[in-house]
Amino acid sequence: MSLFIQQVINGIMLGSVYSLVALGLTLEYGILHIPNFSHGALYMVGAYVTFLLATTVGLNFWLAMIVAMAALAFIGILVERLVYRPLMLESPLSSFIAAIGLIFIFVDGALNIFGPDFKRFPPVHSQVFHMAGTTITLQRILIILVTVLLIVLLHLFIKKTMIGATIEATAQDLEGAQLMGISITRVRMTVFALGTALAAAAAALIAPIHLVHPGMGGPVILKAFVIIILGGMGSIPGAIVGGFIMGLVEALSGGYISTSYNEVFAFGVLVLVLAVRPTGLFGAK
Amino acid sequence: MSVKLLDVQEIVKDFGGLRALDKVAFYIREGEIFSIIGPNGSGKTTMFNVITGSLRATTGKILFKDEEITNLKPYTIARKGIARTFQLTTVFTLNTVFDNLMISHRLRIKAGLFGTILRSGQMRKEEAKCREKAEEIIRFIGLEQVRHRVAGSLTQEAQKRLSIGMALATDPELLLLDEPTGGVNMQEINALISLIEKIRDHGITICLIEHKMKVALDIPDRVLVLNYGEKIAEGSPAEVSGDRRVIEAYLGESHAA
Amino acid sequence: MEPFAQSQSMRRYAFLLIIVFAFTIPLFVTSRFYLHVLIMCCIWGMAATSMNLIMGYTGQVNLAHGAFFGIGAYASGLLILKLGFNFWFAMLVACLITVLVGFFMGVLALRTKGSYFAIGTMCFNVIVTVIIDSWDTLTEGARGLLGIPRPPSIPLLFGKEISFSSLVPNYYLVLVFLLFTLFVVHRIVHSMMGKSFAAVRGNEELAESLGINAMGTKLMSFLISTFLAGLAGVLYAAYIGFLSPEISDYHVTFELLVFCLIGGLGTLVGPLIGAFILTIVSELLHGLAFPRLVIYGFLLIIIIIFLREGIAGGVRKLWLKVAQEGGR
Repeated sequence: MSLFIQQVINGIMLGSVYSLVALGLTLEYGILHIPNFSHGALYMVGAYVTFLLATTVGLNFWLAMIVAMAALAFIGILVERLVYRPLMLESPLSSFIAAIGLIFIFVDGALNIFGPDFKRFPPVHSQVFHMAGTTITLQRILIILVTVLLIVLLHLFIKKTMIGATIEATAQDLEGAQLMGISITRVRMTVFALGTALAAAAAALIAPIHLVHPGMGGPVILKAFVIIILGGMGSIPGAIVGGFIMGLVEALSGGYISTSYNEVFAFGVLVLVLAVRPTGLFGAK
Repeated sequence: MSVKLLDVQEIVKDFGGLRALDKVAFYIREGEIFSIIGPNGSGKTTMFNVITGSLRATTGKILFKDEEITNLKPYTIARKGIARTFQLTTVFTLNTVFDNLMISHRLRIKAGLFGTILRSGQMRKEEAKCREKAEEIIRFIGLEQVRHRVAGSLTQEAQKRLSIGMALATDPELLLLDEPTGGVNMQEINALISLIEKIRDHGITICLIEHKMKVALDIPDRVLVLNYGEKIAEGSPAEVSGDRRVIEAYLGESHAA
Repeated sequence: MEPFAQSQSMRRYAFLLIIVFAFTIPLFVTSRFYLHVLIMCCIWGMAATSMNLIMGYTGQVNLAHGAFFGIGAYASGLLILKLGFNFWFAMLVACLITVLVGFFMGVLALRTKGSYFAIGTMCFNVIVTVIIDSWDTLTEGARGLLGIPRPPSIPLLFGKEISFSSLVPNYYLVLVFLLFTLFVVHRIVHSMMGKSFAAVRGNEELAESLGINAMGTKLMSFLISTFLAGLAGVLYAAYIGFLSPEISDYHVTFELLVFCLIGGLGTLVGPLIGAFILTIVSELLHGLAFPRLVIYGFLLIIIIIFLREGIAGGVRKLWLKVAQEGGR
């Protein structure tokens, strides 16, 4: 029983991270129709930036995370402006391929700059709690809490601010929004900044637990795509719920079946769902 | 004694809560020119899409030459002898005119893997058949001069003729033309009309969706009028243009009676 | 002669010249290193050309190609090592196994379109790699499958034989299969079947309305391309002699993608050019601390934004322009 609770908590923690990543991705794909496959690589960069700030510069963890989010937001804006904007009118395939190019640059760049070894984060929030026969570190609880906080902030941002309203409008009707004088350029920039910042947050949160290495973005981005395809492109609730389900499935199957095959489960589910409903669970037409 | 080539029996098409076609029933006789008219959104293209299998009918049956074809796949229906054009002229824009016509005859030949790789005699004969058909059609629609031009570079009117030619290259018995005169000027309309009549004279049954009254009522033998997905009249152009409900649908109630 | 036909026969002559040249290379290139590089170029060239069939000509972004390369490699390696199959028989069976797996995947995945198809096939690629890695009782997993022998010697007249223990015969072997791959793809592309592929790529709905079974066409293209990918994998396994799960990894797929894009999707020689140039460059700079993929990444982005048809495509456009103007 305690294994079960342990894995459930792990699952919720993992799910939080996946949710944040999927949220960023669903904003980019759902609103801007950009399949930003490099989202995972940016996530990884976020982890490294946080790591550098926390170790070399010696910043407090939360401060490091916030600065990393800002830095990644900036990088996200650059990526949108230099790579995706010129490809705006081409087929999504071109953006997909450009994203692969970005992955090469970021991942191999990180490999060359930092080396392939797993970087250990300095111990932070490592107080341990014992509950119902399980052992949880404070960091894990904080991950869940901070994720909830970020989700609430995102919701408020979209529903309560002008910029959020323009984003919603653009998502619903691109041409109409343009006719109303909304600057699509601004929207693209904002959405990308937001999406990348969320990925950075997710990476910063999980870094102390999962360690930092250049390949960490790979499995995460595939899972994020699975989540948004299953949860519905552009659907924020879909990304959140999907993220948590993914986390739970992974933790439980890893705990009870086998860790080597747990990725296969997630992808297998996707392949099966797409075989039955080629447009995803919530897709139209 | 004219045969019922296409028999549409009480077709209903729902899109979720919206009923686009409400028990529409009509038939097309072999050898005639039939047209479907109606205000915007009355379901004309939807009807075409259901006939050709692009959309599934919610209920109802469609018979072609007494064989049921409801909900078959589009390529199967094309092979059975129903060809169509699209409202937005659709051709393979990156290929030449001649290539467009050649590929349109592909459905009538066999293209097996080993034959293809070895270029067997059989394969060469099949390819020659496509070539001949393309030659025949390109003369028929009058595009010999531009046979090597890339289709996307043709004028709108030439592209329309090409798309009709492509549908003809499939050797159909029934040709569905969706707004063949859309976006075309007065001069060009007459040329298109003679092309349509030429096609009919070659023994192909034609069904048009049309907007322009002149075309919609002048050339067909029989007309179907749709409004909000319902059939409101069916008959000869004279009968239909005098029909009260038709006038109401197009011009509003005050003009009727 | 019209400029188009003129350029066609010129191209045929050029091709013949290059083929003859390719056969004579071992006469003046004797360095083991360069011969090795050429052999790898041919193998990757085969893999890239086969990817071009489904991607460039049929327009489906298949991101599982590396998996089929790996399946072909592992299947033949295992058949030879664990079941004692003869090399040529193992080659045939391995390719058939690859096609069978391809059939399964194709039937499931080809129902989806565009980005969904890309992601679905990529997930499939990951699944294959994970299975190869985890099922180590069968595949030796991360330990690697070692000791795959070179093809057996081919006996000739007068007691002589072709032995594959030296490099030159291996070069000719892969060259012959590369030419075979090019031949098959060429024949298909210039046939009605090839025109069907292009039609499905151009406008699937239009193709269907013209009686072309889009799903069947895509599947056919997919199966041929997986067969040829598996074939390349078989040659890789026999030449290199050992395999690890990375050989089926999505990184392999991405590299093949880069070869195709830089060389030019949708032209016959484009992927070949891409494979040759990039393999040569990466092998030559192997020793240096050279961020190869970073450069690939930049190249990829620049090409996709500015030169979408790749090198070969750009050359072809230029050639056609010149030929048309020269014909006046």
